[in-house]
Amino acid sequence: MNTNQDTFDAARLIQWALRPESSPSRSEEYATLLERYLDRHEFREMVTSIASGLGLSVLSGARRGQSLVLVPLPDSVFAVSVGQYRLGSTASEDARLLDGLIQVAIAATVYPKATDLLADPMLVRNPISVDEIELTLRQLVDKLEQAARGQPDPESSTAGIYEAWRVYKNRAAARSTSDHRAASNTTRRMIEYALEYLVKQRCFKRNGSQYIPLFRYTLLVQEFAATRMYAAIQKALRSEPSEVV
Amino acid sequence: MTLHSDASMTIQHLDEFTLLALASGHFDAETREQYMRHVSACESCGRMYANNAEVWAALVLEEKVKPPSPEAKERLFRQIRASAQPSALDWSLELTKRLRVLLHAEPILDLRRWDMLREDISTQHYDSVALAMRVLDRIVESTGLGADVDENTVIRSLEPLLHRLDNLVDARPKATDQRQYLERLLGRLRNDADARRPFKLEYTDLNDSPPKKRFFEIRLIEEHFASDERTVLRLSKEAANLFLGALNLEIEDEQAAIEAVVQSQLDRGRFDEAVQAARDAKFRSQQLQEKIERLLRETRRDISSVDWLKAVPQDLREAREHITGRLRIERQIISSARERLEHLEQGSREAQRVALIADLMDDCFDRHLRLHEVLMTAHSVFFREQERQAFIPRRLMHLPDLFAGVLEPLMMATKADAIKALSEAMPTLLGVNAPSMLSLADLITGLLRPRRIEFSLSVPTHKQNWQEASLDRVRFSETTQLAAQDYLQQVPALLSTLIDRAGQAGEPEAVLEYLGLRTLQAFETDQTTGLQVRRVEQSWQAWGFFGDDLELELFSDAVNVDMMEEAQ
Repeated sequence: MNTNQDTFDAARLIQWALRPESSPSRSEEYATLLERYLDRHEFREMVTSIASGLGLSVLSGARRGQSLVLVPLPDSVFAVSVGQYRLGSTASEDARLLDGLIQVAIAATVYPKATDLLADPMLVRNPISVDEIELTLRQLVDKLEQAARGQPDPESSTAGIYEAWRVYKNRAAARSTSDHRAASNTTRRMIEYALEYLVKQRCFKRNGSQYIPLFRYTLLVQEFAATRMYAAIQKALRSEPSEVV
Repeated sequence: MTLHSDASMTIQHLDEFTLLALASGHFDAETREQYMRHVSACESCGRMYANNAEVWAALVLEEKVKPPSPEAKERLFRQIRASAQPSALDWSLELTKRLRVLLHAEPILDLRRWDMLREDISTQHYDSVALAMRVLDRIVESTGLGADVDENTVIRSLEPLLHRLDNLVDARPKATDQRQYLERLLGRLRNDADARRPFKLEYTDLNDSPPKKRFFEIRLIEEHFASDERTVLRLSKEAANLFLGALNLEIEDEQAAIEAVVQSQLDRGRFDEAVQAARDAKFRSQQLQEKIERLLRETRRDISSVDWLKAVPQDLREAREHITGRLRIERQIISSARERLEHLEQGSREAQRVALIADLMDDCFDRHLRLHEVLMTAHSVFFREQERQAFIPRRLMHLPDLFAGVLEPLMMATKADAIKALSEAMPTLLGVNAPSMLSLADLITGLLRPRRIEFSLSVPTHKQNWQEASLDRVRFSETTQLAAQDYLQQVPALLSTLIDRAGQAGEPEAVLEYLGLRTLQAFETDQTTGLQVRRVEQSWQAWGFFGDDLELELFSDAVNVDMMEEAQ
């Protein structure tokens, strides 16, 4: 029979899971609650129900000693919006597009083949770098540019018909400002921002110029994001063409 | 019927029995000659006849050339029929198994090729296979009980070996080169070059007809996320089996063998070897624990991914039997170790080794005891999960290719479509973020917090003296005016005389100009300048000036021109 204390503990575990910086290895309470979540079916059910009510889903690959990974349900208040992704700025359409492409490119670089998604999420994957992501995207842009040669040029004034790769192509990789700082709206700087954001979310760990994917990220992509992304993109691209933005 | 036709080729062949009888000399000369003509012309029948003749000859030799009885002949025919079947009878499943076992060493042996091809001359003398063995050993000895090693620890533990290899050839490579070499060695064992995927090993399966090329996948070293936020190195089960020399044995059997070895070595006083064997036993028990935990975890995650009909019950049964046996043996080893310890000199090396053996076996015993409890409740996990997962919709099992199936279509899509797709797809990659909420407690605490002491970081400045200044620009400088005043003190005089004097004295043009303007200013009757000016009826031209000459004199009551000017 569930008691108030059980409900409190279940909510408390969700509270711990919502803090990316916390870890069961550094909090005895978190470790105990996680242990209970893994071992006690009733408690696990309760945590799942409370999370669901809050608009969250608990990824099933929870492991002893690793943080519990939560993901947002559709329209959840916990989903990261563009405003939260780029604090203090109203991102332009192009910037939003590039931010999204970069995040997808990061996931694709960590998991270059479909079968890689079947690997044990506890296995550490190869580190990645800003250069690697930039190179990957530029190579893809070059490939698409080659394929587009010979086809009529899109009318650049009609924003909606302009392909996404052209936006990336037209954005400089690097540029310095008048006071010799790296300009924030270049692709390299945007990639760096994306990786640093993921470091802040404890999805990656920085080691010099290398970024190492952590368990939170491997589980997130393998158990949740990869199939959801694919479905979302299939749905959006299959549907009627969007109105010109 | 002795001849039959090949349906596909419409050629007539001798049947199996006729060929066998022909090889054994069963027919009379005429029939034999007739068949032999066909055999010599037909490749298929000729090959089968040759096989049969060879086997027959061997059998006859064994029978000491005595003419066989009809029963013996029939028996021999049966033997020949069996041995002459055109199948892969000379290749057993066991051979395929051993071939696969052998191939597990390929990624390690491939390091020899790397040694030969390595461009870095300073590290060419390193034997990578030998060092790889030490890597595996280092990982095995530290696996479990939270003492797992990470990449740095393994690298550090290999450095002394590198120095020994350096001394062998009198080489002195840089520390950075050594470290880079070791990182690359670990990378090769992890298969970093292929995104850490398993090694793919190919072999020919001769059990199949025709033989087929097949492959299987193995890992050697895996880097895992540890519970203390580190990443640690572990051996895959294949590497552990390979390294511990138990490739074709089951875990349970291997552990029994290892523990028998421990007991035997302990009895014979070979403590060093016994320690190593005890470590292996500990590792085996940990493997078994991980195997069972993995089964239960996978059951909780998705019951359909685990075979609870046959495989798992068998695994659990075997594990239970194994543990029951192990607990007894381990207790025996622990008690013999303790007994042995009593007869050894306290603190001696032997005593330390035996104590270590006892500790390792204690660990195995505890681990097995805990595992036994898990095994006893394993079935209830199955029933509970079956009930829970019965009506849960199946997971979407399609595995997308993130490059070809996601990134590329996005890049090719129109900007509007891509933005629309990403608005839904991107949040899935960013995890969750708790929205910021106003906390009254935090607000009140913030407001009640004592004012922070502000440290002065500015540099004291000198006191500044402010002076009144006019916004109007002055046409004549102070120096010019003072110079002109000297001439004005010489009145009464004509203006032409004063200017001439100044010009003769080499005064700047500005002084002459000032004298002229000052005189004209005084010529205005309503201006009080201290000077009185009167026109003289004669014209004058000098130093750039032209016009009527003027006579200057002081006002009678004026004290001096300066005072009047100050008043202005």
